[in-house]
Amino acid sequence: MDAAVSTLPLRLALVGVPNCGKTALFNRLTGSRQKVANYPGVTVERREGERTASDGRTLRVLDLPGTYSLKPTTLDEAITRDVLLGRVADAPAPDLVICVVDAVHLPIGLRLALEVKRVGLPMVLALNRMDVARRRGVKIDVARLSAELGVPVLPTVAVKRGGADALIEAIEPTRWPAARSVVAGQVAAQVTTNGRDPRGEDAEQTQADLRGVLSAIGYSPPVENHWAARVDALLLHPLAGILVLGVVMFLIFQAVFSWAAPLMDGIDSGMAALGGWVKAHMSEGPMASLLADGVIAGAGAVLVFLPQIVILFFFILVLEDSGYLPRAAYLLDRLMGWVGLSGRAFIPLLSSHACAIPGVMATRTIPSWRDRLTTIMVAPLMTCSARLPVYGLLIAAFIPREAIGPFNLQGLVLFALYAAGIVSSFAVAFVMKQFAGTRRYSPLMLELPDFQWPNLPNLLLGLWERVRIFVSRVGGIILALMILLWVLAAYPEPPPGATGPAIQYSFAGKLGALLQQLFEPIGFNWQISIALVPGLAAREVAVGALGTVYAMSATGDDLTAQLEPVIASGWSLATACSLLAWYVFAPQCLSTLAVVKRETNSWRYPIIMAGYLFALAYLAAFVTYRAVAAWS
Amino acid sequence: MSPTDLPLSIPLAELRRGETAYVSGLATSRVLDDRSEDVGALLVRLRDLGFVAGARCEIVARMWLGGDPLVVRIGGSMFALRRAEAAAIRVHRYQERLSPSVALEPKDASAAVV
Amino acid sequence: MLQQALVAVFVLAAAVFTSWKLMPARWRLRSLLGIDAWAAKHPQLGGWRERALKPRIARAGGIGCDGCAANTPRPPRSPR
Repeated sequence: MDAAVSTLPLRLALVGVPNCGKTALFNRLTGSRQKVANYPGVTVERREGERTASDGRTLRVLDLPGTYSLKPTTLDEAITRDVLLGRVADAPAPDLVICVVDAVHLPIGLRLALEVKRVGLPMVLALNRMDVARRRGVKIDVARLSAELGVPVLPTVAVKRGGADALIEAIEPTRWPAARSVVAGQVAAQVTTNGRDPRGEDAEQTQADLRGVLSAIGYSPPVENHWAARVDALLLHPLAGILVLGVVMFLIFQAVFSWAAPLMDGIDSGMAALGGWVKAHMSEGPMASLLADGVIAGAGAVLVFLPQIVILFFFILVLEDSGYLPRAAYLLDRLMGWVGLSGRAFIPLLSSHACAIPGVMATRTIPSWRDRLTTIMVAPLMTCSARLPVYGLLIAAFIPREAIGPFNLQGLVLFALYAAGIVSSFAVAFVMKQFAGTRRYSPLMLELPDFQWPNLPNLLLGLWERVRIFVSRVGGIILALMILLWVLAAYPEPPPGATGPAIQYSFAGKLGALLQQLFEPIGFNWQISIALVPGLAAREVAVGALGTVYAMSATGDDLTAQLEPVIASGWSLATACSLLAWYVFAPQCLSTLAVVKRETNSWRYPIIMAGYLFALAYLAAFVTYRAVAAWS
Repeated sequence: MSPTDLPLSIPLAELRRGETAYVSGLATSRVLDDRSEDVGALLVRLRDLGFVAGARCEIVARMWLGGDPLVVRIGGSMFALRRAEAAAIRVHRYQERLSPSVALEPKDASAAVV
Repeated sequence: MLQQALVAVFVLAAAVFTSWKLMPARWRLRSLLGIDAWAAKHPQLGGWRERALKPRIARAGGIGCDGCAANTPRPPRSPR
């Protein structure tokens, strides 16, 4: 039996309370060999990675969602319990459980470990952040702890290179028999099924066991960190804290514009020069046009915004790593409660600033269905990173690079646009609350983790991933759409003797003219109208589409003009503002609607979402257009 | 044992910022009963987070207008709780006042009224 | 002439790529299964089937993120 079984991959699972460093340990164990998928039937993220043991065998490591207990209150906590009990199809119970416990917060992690131990699977305990614990004066007799629990206990420092070596050695397959424990199935009946513990003594017993273990190992709680306490006194202050939050957000947007500007100019002129070179050196014909007008002017126009996206994500990642975000959620909970959102909605809504899709998926941590639905419905109103190229283009073309005191005007306008997204989301949530009837109370119970200096290597890795994702998106779907748009804009060719730019006679031109009738009241010309169509697949494609459309409308010597000055001279201020207002709501992202359909399991909500977003977008654009046209 | 029997046991939410106290037990309240979907699970979860009898807790921060939500440090971790769930936690200012069998079962607690 | 042929190839590739990305996930899954069934009849494709096709099918069973690359393999996250 051993010979046959020993070639099968060994399944490991990481379990622990949230914020215990489980994921950092997961990264240490699997390096870059990880992938993210989903559990069957539910929209909970499944993070899995691989590692090769010293005997060549494959170890499959599963990073289970963090949970405080095996009596779940949210969907992802339920997944953790179900995987451990072997109830999930495609995710059989692990052969070995690595229970990660933060040594600085030992009682809460150890309590979970005792619960997990009762499931009966082979287990090791990783005692993480031992370095911090020692500094804070926590005393833990590791050997005694191992004896009390009856499982190996390995100290780890997940964030340091080599910090998990003891653990890596302990999970070698040679240490563990291949046979999976059948006890798991039998014990499953004892663990609760719906959060209510049918036998109260179980929880009592665990608490008693915990007290016993803690006293046996001579545990003493951590000394207070005075520096952190002083910072928290400021950050959690009801008035000063909110002020600090506003200032931080504001400074981030200032940085996004001022730091990115020189880099963006560089990329922009580079693209223009490249396009000019192609046109000058290639023989006249469809290929030259495809390259210069389709690829370079199109996809290139979107690539220009890479620096802004990198800087924005830098700040988002720093905020996430530092532990600040749950504190912001605490500060905003009251305000969000007034409009019918839970404080727990803060983090999904913040994720939506990168892309609404992971934001919508992150709502699975919200226990109440009503709260969750409200959050999902307003998530697309958060200014996602795909809108940034559109905002960036219009601001650069129409807002002068002036300074108001120490701040730059362009950054201010960008901040105002982001604020508009947030304010409108609160307004929509408030309206939804009126229709919802009395809400059942749902608890907050949010942990505020210790402060942590952002880990630079992880940060850079995260940024690199973002760059990779953005560039592959540009080189993938955006490039493909630009090629298609180009062909629709180049053919059919104008009849001989025709005046005016060739594009007007093409499919795209005709379609644009048709759509323009719909958008005339809000000031969109036919170029914008046609650009919104490929924008259905990805919002930022509108920028690329404008690039291509204008490149092909250029006649005479103006063939290498960059998009920004062309728009600045061609559009009225009212049109630009109208397009900005439209994009605050930007109803047209099909991908978001598809995810909402999957998350809510019905067509009803994505249809409602598309409908209300379209109505608001049109209304906002209309009002803005008329107002600015009247005023200017 | 109902919380009204315990002398000087007050709801956590009544503590001011910076004050410390010792948990005497968990009890539901009428407010929580009416509006919460699953009071029992909530109380069990609070206990799992560390709000057990004898645990020392400290109010780190309170939001304006009645301290909803508030931040409490317990067992070395900090949690933000809304007023309603904080009201389920009863504390004594002085450790000596805690009687030995003071921990409450969730099912017993549902019979108690604040 | 060659230019036009090349352009046509690019355009066709773009069209196929776009429709693949924007297709509803269930259609994609069905297409993949169809390709898998066809490939099963040609044993010399076995290696490609194992390496490339089967993992794709396994991944397609989940939520997928039609056309939005911003959501595929998440960056290794913070040290928590």
